[in-house]
Amino acid sequence: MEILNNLSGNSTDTMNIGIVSLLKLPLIIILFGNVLFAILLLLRIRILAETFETGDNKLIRGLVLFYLFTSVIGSIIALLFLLIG
Amino acid sequence: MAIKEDKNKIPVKFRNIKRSFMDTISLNNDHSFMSFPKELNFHGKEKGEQVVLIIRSHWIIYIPYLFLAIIIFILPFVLTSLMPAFFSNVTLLISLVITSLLVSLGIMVSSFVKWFYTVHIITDQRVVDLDFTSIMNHSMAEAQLEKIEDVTHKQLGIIGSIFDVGSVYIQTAGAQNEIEFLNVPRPRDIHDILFDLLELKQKGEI
Repeated sequence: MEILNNLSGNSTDTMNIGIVSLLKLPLIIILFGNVLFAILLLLRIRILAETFETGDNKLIRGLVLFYLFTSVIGSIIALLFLLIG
Repeated sequence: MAIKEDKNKIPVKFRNIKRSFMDTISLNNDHSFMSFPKELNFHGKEKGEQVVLIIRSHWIIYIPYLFLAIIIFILPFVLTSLMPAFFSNVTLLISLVITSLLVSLGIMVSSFVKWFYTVHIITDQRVVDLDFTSIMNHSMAEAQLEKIEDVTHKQLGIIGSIFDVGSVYIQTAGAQNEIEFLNVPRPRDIHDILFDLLELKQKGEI
């Protein structure tokens, strides 16, 4: 009976760990996707800034660079937390 | 004094033109509807070509993106309150919050970039339509004023009536696609400006 109780307890823990691990994978994919999105956005505005030149282009570039920088730093922190947890 | 300053903003080419569009063009200028902008250049602009108007989509169109960003940002907190046992793992929750924050920031930044680079330019020679369709591609279409055959505008339901938002469709000669200015402010004024410019071009006044 004790053996059976232990077995059932272990299986619940394993299931919890399994679900948490399962949730980590999409989070990692989203984080990588977000950084890739920021890089692509920066490349796109580089082309668009040559197509349409105004004084505000520097502001847009600064904003996208801030977004890229935040994405990289934020993704590293989030990944570290995911690996620790 | 203010009138004199406004007069100075108008290029010499347009100062003596007596048309209805000259009165409406300088009213309520903002980043979505800007007449005679300075320090503006675009790919293929000819020397001496005067930009009359630049138009961007109305900000009201981007409200759903703002709501989406807010929903994504608050999603981890909602999930935590609904399933506290599942999110008892603090490190996982922090990662989820950071991810949602980055995704919502991405939505807002990309929406702003989309608004800024989806721009319609009316010059004294042509109409240029630059569309930021997605992160992977953009398109640019242009038509000479002489090639424009018909201009129509439509207003967007209740929102269009409240905020004066609508779309302007420019039909050009030949097999070219129709140029569309979608969800722009003051579509009636744009219609009027285009027709007056067409007439001035036909008469050789610009």
